[in-house]
Amino acid sequence: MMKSKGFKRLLQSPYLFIAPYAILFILVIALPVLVAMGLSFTSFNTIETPTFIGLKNYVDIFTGDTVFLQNAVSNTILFSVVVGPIGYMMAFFLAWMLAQVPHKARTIYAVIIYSPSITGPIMMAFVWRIIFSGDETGYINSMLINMFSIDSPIQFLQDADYLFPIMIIVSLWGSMGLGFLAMLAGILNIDRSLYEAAAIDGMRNRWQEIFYITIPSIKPQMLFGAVMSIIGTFNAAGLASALSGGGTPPQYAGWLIVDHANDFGFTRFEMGYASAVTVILLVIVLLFNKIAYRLFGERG
Amino acid sequence: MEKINKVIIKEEKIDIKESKRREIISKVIIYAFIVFFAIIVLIPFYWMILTSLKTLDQIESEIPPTLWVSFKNMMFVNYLNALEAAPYLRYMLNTVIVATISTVGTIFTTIFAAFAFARLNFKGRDIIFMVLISTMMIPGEMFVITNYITVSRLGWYSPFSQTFGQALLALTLPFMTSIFYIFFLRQAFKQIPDELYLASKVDGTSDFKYLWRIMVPIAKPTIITITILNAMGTWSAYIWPNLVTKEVEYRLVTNGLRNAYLDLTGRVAYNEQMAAAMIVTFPLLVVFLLLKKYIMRGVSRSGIKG
Repeated sequence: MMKSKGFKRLLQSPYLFIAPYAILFILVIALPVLVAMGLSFTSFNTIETPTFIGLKNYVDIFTGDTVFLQNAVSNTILFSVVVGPIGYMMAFFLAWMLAQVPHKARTIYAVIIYSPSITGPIMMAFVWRIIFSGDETGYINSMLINMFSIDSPIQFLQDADYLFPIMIIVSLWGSMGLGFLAMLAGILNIDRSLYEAAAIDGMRNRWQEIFYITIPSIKPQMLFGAVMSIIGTFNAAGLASALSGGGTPPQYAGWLIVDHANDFGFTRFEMGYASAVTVILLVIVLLFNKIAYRLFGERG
Repeated sequence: MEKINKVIIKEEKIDIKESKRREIISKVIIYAFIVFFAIIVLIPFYWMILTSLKTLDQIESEIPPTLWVSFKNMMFVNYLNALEAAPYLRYMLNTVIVATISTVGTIFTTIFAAFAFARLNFKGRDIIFMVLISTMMIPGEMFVITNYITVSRLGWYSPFSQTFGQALLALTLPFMTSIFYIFFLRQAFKQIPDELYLASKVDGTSDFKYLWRIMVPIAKPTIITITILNAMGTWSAYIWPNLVTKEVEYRLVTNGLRNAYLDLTGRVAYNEQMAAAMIVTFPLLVVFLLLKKYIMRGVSRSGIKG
C-alpha cells in the first residue's frame, strides 16, 4: 500500500516530467558547454588525453592569432551588426506590408518570402556561385558587360573586396525566417478596434499607427524575432567558404569566428584552441543579447 | 446657418476623397514593394531551375547567358545524371529515418518539459528556466566540438568502422533536445487558462492525464509546428552529418550536394549540380506549401515576454 502510494507520488512529481529532457539536455548541451570551457585551458588533439596549459590558448589568440584578431572578430561583428538589424527591420516591414494585403495574395507572398530560409544558406550558395560566376558566363557579369560596358568580368567570389558584401546580400536574402512569420502572425492578431479607436482620437498617419499601436502590440513577437536573428547571424558558418568554392576564402574575407572555430576543431584537430575561440564567441553573443533585451524586453 | 452646414459637408467630402486617394497611393506602394521583393527572392530559384535544364556547353559558352530554355530543349536528363552521381534515394531514406527518430524524441521530451515549466510548481522552476533560455544563445559550435568527442567515445563514430545503427545514434543524439521548442510550447501551454487545471485537480485527475487529455489537444497547432520545423531542419542539416558519418551511404541529402559534379572531360557539371539542388530543395518547398497553414497557426502563438 505504502509502496504504491510512493509510486503514485513519483508519477505526480514535476521532476519526472522534466527528467527525459533534463538528461538529454545535460548530456548534449550543459556538459558540452562546461567541457568546452574546460578544454579551452588545455591542449587536446582528440586522441591523446588533454594536457592542462592554463591560459595559453587565450594568450595565443589575443597576441598571435592575426587571422582571428584582424578578420574573424571584425567580420563577425560587422556581419551581425549589418545583417542582424537590417534583416530584422526588413522582416518587420515586410510582415507589416503583407498584413495590409488580402488573404490570398498574402499567403502566396508569405510563402515566397519565407522560402529561402527553408532551403538554408549553404544549399543556395551553389546557386549564388553560378550567378556571381567570375567570367562572362556568369549572369551578373554578363549583365554588367552588356549594360554598363565594363571591360572585363569581375572576380566577385575570388576578390576579398566583393566576397564579404556578397555574403551579406546572400544572408539578407535568406533572413526572413521564423521571426518574420511570428511578426506577421502577431500583426494579424492585433485587434482592429485599436486602430479604429486611434483614428477617432485623431491619428491620421501610418507611421504613427506603426509606432504607437503595431509595435507595442507585438512586442513579444518583436523580441522573439530579435533573439532569432541574433542567434541566426552568429551561427552563420561556412557561407564564405561555400561561396568562394570550399576551403579558406581569399584573404579570409567573410571569415567568421565560427569558421575559425570549425577550422581549428575539425581540420587541424586542435580542440583546446577551438574551444577557447567558442568561449570568446559566447561572450560576444551574450553581450549582444543583453542589448536586445534592453531594447525590446518588458520588465516584470 | 445652412451655408455653414454646406461648407462642412463639402469639406468632409474633400476629406474623404483625399483619404481615399492616399489609401490608393499607399496600396500601390505596398504592392510594388512586395512584388519587387518577391521577385528578388525568386530569381535565384529561377536560375537554379534554368541552369538545371541547360546543357553544359550552353552554360559555358553562351554569352550572354540565355534566360529561357524552350520546352523541347530542356535537358531533363541532367536530373537522371544527378541522381546517379550520388545515392540520393538512399540519402532521402536516411534523412527520413533520422528526421523521424529525432522528431519523436524532441516532441516527447519537449511536451513533458514544457508542461512542467508552464503549469507545475516546483522548487527552482524559474531559475532552471532562466538558465535554459540563456543557453539558447550559446553558439552551436560549442556543443559540436564536445558532442563529436562524446559520440566518438561512445563508440558511435570512428574513422575506421561504423555500422548504420551507430551512425543513426550519432546523427540523432544531439537533436533530441531543443531549448527553442520548449520555449515555444511553454508559451502555448501558458495561454490555457488556469481554471481548467484547477477543475481537473478537483476531479482528481493526475497531471499526466491532464497533460495528455487536455493540454496536448489544445496546443496541437504548436506541436504540429514543432514537428514540421524539426523534420525540415533535419533535411537541411549539413555540418554534423558530415562529421559523424564514415560511410558515404550513411549521409543525408544536403551532403550529396557537395559531391564533385564533374563530366567526362573534368569540367564542373553545373547543370547536374543544380539538378541535384532542385531534387533536394523541391520536397522541402512542397512540404512547406502543404503545411503552411499549420506552421502559421503555431507560430502565431509565439512570442517572448522578457
